[in-house]
Amino acid sequence: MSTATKVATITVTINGQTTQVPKGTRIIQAAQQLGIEIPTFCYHPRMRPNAACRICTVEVVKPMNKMFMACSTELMDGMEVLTDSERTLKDRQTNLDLLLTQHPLDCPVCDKGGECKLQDYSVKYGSLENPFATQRKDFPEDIRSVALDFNSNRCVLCGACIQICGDIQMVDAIGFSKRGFITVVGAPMGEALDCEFCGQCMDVCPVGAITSRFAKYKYRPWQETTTLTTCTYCGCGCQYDLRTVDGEISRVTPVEGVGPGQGSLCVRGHFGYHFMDDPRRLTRPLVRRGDKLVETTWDEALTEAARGLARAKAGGANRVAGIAGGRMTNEEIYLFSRLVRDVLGSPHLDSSLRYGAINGVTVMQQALGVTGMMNSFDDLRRADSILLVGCDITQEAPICGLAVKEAIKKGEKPVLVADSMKTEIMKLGAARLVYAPGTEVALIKGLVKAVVDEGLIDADVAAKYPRAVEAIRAELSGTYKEIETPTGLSKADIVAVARQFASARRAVILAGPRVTGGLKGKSAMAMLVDLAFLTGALTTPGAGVNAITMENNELGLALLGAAPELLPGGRGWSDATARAQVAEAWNCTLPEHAGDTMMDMFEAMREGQINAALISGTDPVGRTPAGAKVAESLRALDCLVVADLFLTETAKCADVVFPVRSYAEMDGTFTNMEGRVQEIHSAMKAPGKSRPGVEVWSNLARALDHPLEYASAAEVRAEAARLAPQLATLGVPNGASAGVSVPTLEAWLQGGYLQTMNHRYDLPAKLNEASEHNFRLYLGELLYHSGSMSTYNWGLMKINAANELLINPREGRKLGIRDGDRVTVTSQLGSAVVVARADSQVMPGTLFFPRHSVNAEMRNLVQVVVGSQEEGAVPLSCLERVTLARVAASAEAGASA
Amino acid sequence: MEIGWMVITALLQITVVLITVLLTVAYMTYAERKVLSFMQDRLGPMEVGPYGLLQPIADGLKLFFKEDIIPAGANKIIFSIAPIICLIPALIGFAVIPYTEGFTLFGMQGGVIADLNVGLLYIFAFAGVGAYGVILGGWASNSKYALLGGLRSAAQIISYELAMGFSIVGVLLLSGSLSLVSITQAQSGTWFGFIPQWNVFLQPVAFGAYVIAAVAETNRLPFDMPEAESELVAGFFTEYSGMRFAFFFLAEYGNMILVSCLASVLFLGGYNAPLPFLSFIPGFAWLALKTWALLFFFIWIRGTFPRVRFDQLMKFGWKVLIPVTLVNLLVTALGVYIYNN
Amino acid sequence: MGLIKTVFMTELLMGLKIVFMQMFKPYCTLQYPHVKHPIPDGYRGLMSLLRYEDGSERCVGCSLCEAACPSNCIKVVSDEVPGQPLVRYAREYYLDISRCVFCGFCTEACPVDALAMTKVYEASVYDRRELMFDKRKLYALGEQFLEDGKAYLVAHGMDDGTLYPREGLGDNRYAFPPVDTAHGGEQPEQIGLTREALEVEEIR
Repeated sequence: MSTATKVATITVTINGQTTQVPKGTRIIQAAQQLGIEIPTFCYHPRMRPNAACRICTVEVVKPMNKMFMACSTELMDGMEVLTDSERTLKDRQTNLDLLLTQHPLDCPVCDKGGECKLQDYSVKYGSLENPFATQRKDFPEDIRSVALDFNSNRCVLCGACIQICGDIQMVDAIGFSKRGFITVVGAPMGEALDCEFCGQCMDVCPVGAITSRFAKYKYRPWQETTTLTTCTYCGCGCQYDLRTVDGEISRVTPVEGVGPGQGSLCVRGHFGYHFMDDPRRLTRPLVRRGDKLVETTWDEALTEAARGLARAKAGGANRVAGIAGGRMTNEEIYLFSRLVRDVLGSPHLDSSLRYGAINGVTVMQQALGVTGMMNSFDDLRRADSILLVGCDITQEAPICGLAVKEAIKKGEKPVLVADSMKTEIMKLGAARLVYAPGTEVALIKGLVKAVVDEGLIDADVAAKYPRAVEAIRAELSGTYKEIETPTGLSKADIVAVARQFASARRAVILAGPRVTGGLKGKSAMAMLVDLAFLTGALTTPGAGVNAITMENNELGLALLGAAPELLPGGRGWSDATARAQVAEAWNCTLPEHAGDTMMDMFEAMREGQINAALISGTDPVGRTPAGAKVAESLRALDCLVVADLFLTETAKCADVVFPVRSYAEMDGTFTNMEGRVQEIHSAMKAPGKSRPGVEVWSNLARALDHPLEYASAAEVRAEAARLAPQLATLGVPNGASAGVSVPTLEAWLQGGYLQTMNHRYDLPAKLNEASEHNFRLYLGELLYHSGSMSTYNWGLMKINAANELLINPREGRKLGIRDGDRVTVTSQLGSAVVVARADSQVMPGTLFFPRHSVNAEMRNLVQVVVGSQEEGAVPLSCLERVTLARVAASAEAGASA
Repeated sequence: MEIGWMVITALLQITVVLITVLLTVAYMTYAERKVLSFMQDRLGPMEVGPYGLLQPIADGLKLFFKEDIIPAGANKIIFSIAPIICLIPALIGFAVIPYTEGFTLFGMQGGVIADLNVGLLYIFAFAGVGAYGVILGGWASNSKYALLGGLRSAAQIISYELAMGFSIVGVLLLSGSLSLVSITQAQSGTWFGFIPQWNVFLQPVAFGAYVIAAVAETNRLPFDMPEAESELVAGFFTEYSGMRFAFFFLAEYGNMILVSCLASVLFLGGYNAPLPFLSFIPGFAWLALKTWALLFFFIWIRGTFPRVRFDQLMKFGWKVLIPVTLVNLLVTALGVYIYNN
Repeated sequence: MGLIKTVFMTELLMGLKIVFMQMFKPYCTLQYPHVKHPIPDGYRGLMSLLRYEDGSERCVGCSLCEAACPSNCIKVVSDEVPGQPLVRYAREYYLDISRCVFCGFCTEACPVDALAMTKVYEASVYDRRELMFDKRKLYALGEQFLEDGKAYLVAHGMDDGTLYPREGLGDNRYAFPPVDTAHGGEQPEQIGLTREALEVEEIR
């Protein structure tokens, strides 16, 4: 940290041990560094001291003899502290006695029993006889909320839960109510708790006052086996402890200070562990016999799959396709891509990256040579300004969202949010730009235009790269009118945001899925790169531009080249030397022309040009809008091999289905959105005869007479790391936060930049405005679901079943729709009946529906608009998510209310 | 014609004697367990039948139905023959034991199956053969324990047979006959009307020597070196099971009964009642009583004495028992010579 | 004198006499299956699970017995009672009696007096699997030998003979037997041992 200011060190003595610490260090921190334990309930390393529990009292001998709170007292030079003096122990004992006067001592039925701080301290420091006899608390337990139970009898009123909810999660869902002996923690006004259920309050609770409803009475801490592993839900890639009892998952606990989340987990991380032992898991391979899929042996299934693939391969060049998913491990993706490109000799390899952040990732790679985010979460925490574009960060990447929230706390309203909804983060941010759905391109153009027009261009950039600046300026000749009209924003708002962003030193841009996955997503992303370029964010350390990836290993897909335009190592297919290198490593030939993208593949399947396909770890039928058409394409195949955990909609179309293992049942690595490669470990019993994906692809390669044999997943990673060196080191972000290197930037500006400039700033055509369809339906991300496995999770489904249509409250009232009413949604493609709920996040004229809902009817209302080739090198693939719909109170309205 | 009756008489007597002996063997085991139990403040077998009376039958049945195992590496033929070689001498000796006063059956003389004039010699000759069964059984088992047991047995039997032989020569000198019938008859009557004319009173030392040698001959405690459990598992019949084991077992107990019978005949007046007014009790009852008393003594010493060491055993046999019996023989011979002259 | 002793083997005769006289002493054995020893209350026999008077299960599934077990023969699977949130119980309870060492630590660990040892020591079965006691079997034992269990708890100072009733407890609460420090070891008289008895124990 070269930028860190020099902090003076002071010399202190704790229990006779002398040490040097930076000024401002508190007693408890210094003691912990020395390995001296000071008991505490309310102290938490990531939060400011609360000094509520009073158990950390220690004796200070010098410079004055007095008792101090170790958690809140900053050390002074020459201070001498005793943490185990007689006086300290006596105070500690009295404090414990006071806490225990009201504690119910129901440890045998308390889920915290065995890891409870109060228990431990009572054994260590407590007395056997309590002089303070009083009535024990006897509040009824609050079990009204879906996920968290509150037992106020056990509460020691340390306030850590309230603090983490307010300071770190910034939700403020719980607080103290009442006073004195009857003080309780809970939702305000004694209501049932209805928050986002991140569960952080439960983690910081030192006693058993807040416990998980899903793990209630299912475990005792000493029975558990703990496995440090990586969360599989979103691109944040949090590390957590998966706890198992006899091979069955009991719960998930965070690890303080480890991984991107630094010990924070979201609702999915905490409570999304139920899909692994779901009875619907596939246990044996399936093969198609007539109309039915029947269970069979691995040998037969592998033989059948190999026969079908070999037949298609023999039928002509490039007649096999492969689609990988973002929840496969790096090892699985590598082997899968090698299987498709090398063993099956087909360039048609695509992945769920296609309906994810492909545009963001490829633009970042071409322009900046960076795979993944430029900035790490730590950069976000320190950033002076964060511009969120089309990015509901708290829903899409909750832990990344916590980093943004931390930045909010530090600066003077530094977060700028542009979105088509009033998102949670918007309520905390300085400036909000709420634009009409689908007009991201216009908005970004407006921002760039504001920077250029208002003279906010970074002086260095203007001086160094005048040609590039001029080229951009030339594209922005239009008026603000063409931006104001579609977006519904005023010039002043846009200019204000641009001004604030440009003036910040460490300015970070986060582009969400509505930018990268929208129509003209590649252009939009390129424009954001321009914005960062013009404001100097590309070269300033700690600043930059980033695209958020949604699936947990989406970046692994990019890194290992699981897209037709990519090669392992994140290099482009068009890069001839890279292609030659890969071909040499695999001892095969790779054609010059890149393969089809996913949408083209489906087209080719329908037309009979592709006869066999391998799909793993993703469910294009069940998870894409307009999945019915995808299913049609897949059914036209001669042989479809699917590997998945469940019998997904895609698997139902398959000829052979392989049951594979979940992340909790095998070893491997995932790459998170920062580029950290993090390990997963086998922690629980795998169901039936399922096999790890690595083993499946290895077996299939052997069945195809092209053995790819590995002793372990680590060996696969070692091989993959030769082509993608990023895989070699574990747990470190990709290190681009120092800024883009000058040669890369210049190569970009002089090379690809000007060629792709053409049409970049053209606005897309307007949506077809049919008069009777007066709403815009938007399929978006929900905190509780991520599409891959979350809907198989009974726990998460109980918290949020992802089947509600959200509507603006005012419009709902106007239409007479109450919460829970069933409504009909109609588009040009059909209609669906769904339950509606009013939500103030939704803007007027807009409807929100979870993208990952199991409700296929709803998804099929939305058409996929495939971007045209007119953007030059930009390949297609945008999911157009906005259509017009009409709401009418359904015939059975109110039946469910 | 006479031969026919003779055969029938003999067969009848054999049947009666054999059944008696085998039943005695059976209940000897029962009695041994019971008596030992009483001596050890226990109750012994109580489960099969009233007071466990059917226990010997249960044991017999059990042994009969047990699996017959021949160990790997054993000499099958000798292994099979050895128990028979052991059993036959034990049973055959009863042919010359007079079990009651002479009577006439079908015109034939009864009271003894065969009144051989070399009866005593006959018994000793066969007893010598019995040792072969033990040695062969021990050798054929292909087991170190069995072999050691067999060797010890050979040494022990040879040693004590000498002492036993010497101890009865005195009796022979007194009665002047090798026929057991004659010896028994010579002991009828009383001295002075109240002392039975039994050899035990004339030959107390010989009687003592005989009993000690008999215990050693039958491998009983405290001289059961050939089958010392703590050292040799079960000695020469370690590897035997089922009916073959039962044969050895029968032989051991048969031998005990035989030597007890012989002691009764030689020293305790056989079937003779001790005093004339008691002669209304039949002779075989007296014989049985005396035999059982000796058998009880066998059990009694088993319950009392610990096993001697092998070297002590040999030392006692050669250095004490044989000299004592030789001296006794000399004294007896002198006495008889003086008395006769 | 010594010679006479040797010649007439008087020591041997003395031994014979003693053994002979022993025959007339009463026997001291027990005809076991027909006659049985009286078992003391503190005897640690087969384990059993007890119920409250109203028939509800005492066990709250806290797994402390499992933690206390030195031979790892107990397995508790705890859960909420279906339909009764917050009521903890042992959904499954397994005790591998073939591995049990009958130390009784589990009964001491039990906070609700749900575990007690009976006086049953005849556990032989023809099928080893029957020695894996499940919850049903343990509660059946507890019902069958309730008196044994009660006596056991009293004898070990874990109960005062009332078998702490459930009265006054809420649905999701349970009784804690009061802590009796007298059984901590300082006052041996109170657990039925006199000083003399203790001393004798030590001498042995």
